[in-house]
Amino acid sequence: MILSKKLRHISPKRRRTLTITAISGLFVVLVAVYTFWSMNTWSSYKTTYESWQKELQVSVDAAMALPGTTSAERAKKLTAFKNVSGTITSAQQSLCHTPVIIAWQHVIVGLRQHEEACAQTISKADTFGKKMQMTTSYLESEQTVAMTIEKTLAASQDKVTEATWNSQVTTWQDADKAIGKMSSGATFAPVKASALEKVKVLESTWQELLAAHAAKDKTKYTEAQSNLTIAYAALGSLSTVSAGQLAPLTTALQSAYAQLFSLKT
Amino acid sequence: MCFMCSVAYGVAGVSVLLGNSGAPLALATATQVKTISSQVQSLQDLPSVLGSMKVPNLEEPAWLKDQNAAEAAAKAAKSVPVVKVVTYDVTSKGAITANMAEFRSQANATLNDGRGWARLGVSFQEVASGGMFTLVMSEASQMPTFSSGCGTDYSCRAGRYVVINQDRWLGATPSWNNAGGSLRDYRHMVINHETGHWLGHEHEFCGGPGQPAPVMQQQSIDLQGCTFNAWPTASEMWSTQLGITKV
Ligand SMILES: [Zn+2]
Repeated sequence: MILSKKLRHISPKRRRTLTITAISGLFVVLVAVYTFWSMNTWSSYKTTYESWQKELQVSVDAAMALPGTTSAERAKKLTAFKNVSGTITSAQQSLCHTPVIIAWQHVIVGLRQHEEACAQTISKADTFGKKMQMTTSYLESEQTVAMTIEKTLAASQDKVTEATWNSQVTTWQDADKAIGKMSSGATFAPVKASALEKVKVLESTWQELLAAHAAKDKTKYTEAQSNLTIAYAALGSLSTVSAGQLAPLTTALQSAYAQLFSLKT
Repeated sequence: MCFMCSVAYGVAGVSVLLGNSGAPLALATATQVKTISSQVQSLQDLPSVLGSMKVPNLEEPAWLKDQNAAEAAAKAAKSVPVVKVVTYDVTSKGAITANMAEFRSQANATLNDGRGWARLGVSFQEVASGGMFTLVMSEASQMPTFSSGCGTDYSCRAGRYVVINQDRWLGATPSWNNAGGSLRDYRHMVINHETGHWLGHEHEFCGGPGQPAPVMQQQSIDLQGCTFNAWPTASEMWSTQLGITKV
């Protein structure tokens, strides 16, 4: 009210000048505030994806640093690697999101490059995460088979008397069932098939030995005994089959790791 | 002056400050890249499980042990062709409580065993009378009646008589028993030893500590560092009585 009373005493020309000056001042303030806020947002956009990438590498390195001598340690380490691929999946939804109010600014080449770099990072991380997921899933299956075999072997590692031969057949039959019903990915399928085949041979060779023993047939007994040696040696070659299947997975994982963390190998 | 243009100019300045590093960060080192592949490979359990696997050590079943022993004995007996038949007759002296049928069959089995004097190429055949030597089961107290050199404690050979002391046949000797030797093995030893004298052997001595004693050593008296042995050794495979030099 006071201002409008005062303005009445000002000439119309001067009044227009004042109004324009006020509006311009307000505009300049608005531009300054918006610019400052945009600067901040873009700056944190860059640091967010860069630090996420750093943190991701720290967690991969931490998983790698875990001990892996015993099978329990290996299982724990495998879980740590699995958690890494989980982190990547959850980051994908939010990491490269640009707020709508500044989205138009990607017409500026320098800023668009940040968006592109972020997208590239998340895409490389996604590839790495998928390779890691495939590898850990393979290793989970491998560890399951190994555990089953280890349990079965435990029953026959000391001197085996004729009283326990019957139970050898049963334990190998159990191993056969356990491996048969486990689910596994396509890469592990040949290892599973090979494991089943070798376990079945052991099962039937022990049966052969039992039959020869019951018949007190020395020739058949000796034959079964040497077949048993062959069957155990064949089982031993399962780790070679597995190493062959795992190799392409680790090569792909290694290359995805190098890509993600910008390395020329 | 446009709003958008002003902001664009301002923010463009920021983009320069941020550095237009569209290129990703260089974080990893070459060693780490190698590590991830080897680290993942080392998570396999099969190599350690299968690497430490042993082929079961099967304990030979009893029937197989018997079959193998029988085959080995048959093979040993076959390996030396029989060139001579030695006949002997069996008798007893004094009050005998031992089972004479068992004495006859066990003595014959020992004499013809593939591990014994049969390796000379000799087959021992029991006859009713008029054998080349006489195998006697004697009451201990009757032992000296065969020769002044025969005592009541041990078995003895006197001329054509191969005399087995009934006490020893039934109970071996304390030293043999204390060492865990079986009665059957003692019987093998005493038959082989006394028959050995008839074949022309004198007493032998232990060849060295830990070695099996020669059957002609007086094992019941002193082992001299040797181990008990019921069968003639390779160096004892000769007989002046039968005119057989070393086999
Ligand atoms: Zn003597």
